[in-house]
Amino acid sequence: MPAYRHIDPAVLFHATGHDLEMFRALSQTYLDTSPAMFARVEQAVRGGAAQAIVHSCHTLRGTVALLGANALVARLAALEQLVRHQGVAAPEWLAETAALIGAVEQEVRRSMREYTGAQA
Amino acid sequence: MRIIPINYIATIKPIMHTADVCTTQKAAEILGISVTSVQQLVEAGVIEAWKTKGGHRRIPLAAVEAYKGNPGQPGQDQRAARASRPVPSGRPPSILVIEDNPIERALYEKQIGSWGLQADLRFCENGYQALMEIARDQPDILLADIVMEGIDGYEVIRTILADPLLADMHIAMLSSLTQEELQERGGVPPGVVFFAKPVNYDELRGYLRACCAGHARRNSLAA
Repeated sequence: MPAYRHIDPAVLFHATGHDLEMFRALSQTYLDTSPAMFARVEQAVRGGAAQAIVHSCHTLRGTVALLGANALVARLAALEQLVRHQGVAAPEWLAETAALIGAVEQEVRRSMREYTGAQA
Repeated sequence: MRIIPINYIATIKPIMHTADVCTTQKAAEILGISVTSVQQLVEAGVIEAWKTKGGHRRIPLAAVEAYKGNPGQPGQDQRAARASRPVPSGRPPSILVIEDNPIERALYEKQIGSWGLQADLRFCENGYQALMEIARDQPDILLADIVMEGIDGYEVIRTILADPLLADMHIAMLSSLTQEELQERGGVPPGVVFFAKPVNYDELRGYLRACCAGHARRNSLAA
């Protein structure tokens, strides 16, 4: 079984108190809610309003942190910091982040099928 | 633990900042008393504190400073210059969690519900709901996320701190904001405890146990 590269299922599993049913339910909650969260990030970045970018990134970051998606957390935090100091997102930022979101989503789906907590 | 579903409220954070808490040894240095005396004050509930999973006491600096300024008064009452409501005898403490993230709400419910606290647990999804709920039924303990749409956690906490009738409430902020970001928003208000996200549930459990113990103590004194 290949290792997880974009999430760490043990993070959410541990937070649920090692409750596999809850782990899967919350993973599904992530899949249900994250598209809208990322849509708000996209809209904010395209619109260029600093406060909206910081807020939307912060919200998404808090959620993906619960999955142990460290690279995505770091990416969102970096943009928050950049924008707070008057920086702007690089032109390729959205596409790269969307790809990372997709990779996270794939691994979340995989963890819902395969993860048993035995690895935790 | 009784979890109260409320229709307009959701039914379904940590690492304490080292600047906000101190060890028993440090508290003894600040107060100029022995470590044993600090331990006794903590055990007696005069100074608010809690223990980590490893058994180490963590004492909010605000509680130490409050005791230093007014020895003999309970630590949480650093806001006690204001009037406080009477504690209804026998009533279990109530915990209100303000959190806009459904995954985090579910995790709080699961974790807090498993700690065996004799407390009611309620949830709100945003600051507006929280203010409505606090007006309807004041909680004893508030755990507030900070960054939320509309009325955020800071506004809720400032509203509480400005109301003398809410002086008894234990308040903790839970957020992934950095220290720099917190400072930009005015920092952590006096008497408020800060937990960094992702939440360290061992720390949060210790904090809530201390709050609930304090509530039980006040109940017994009022009886």
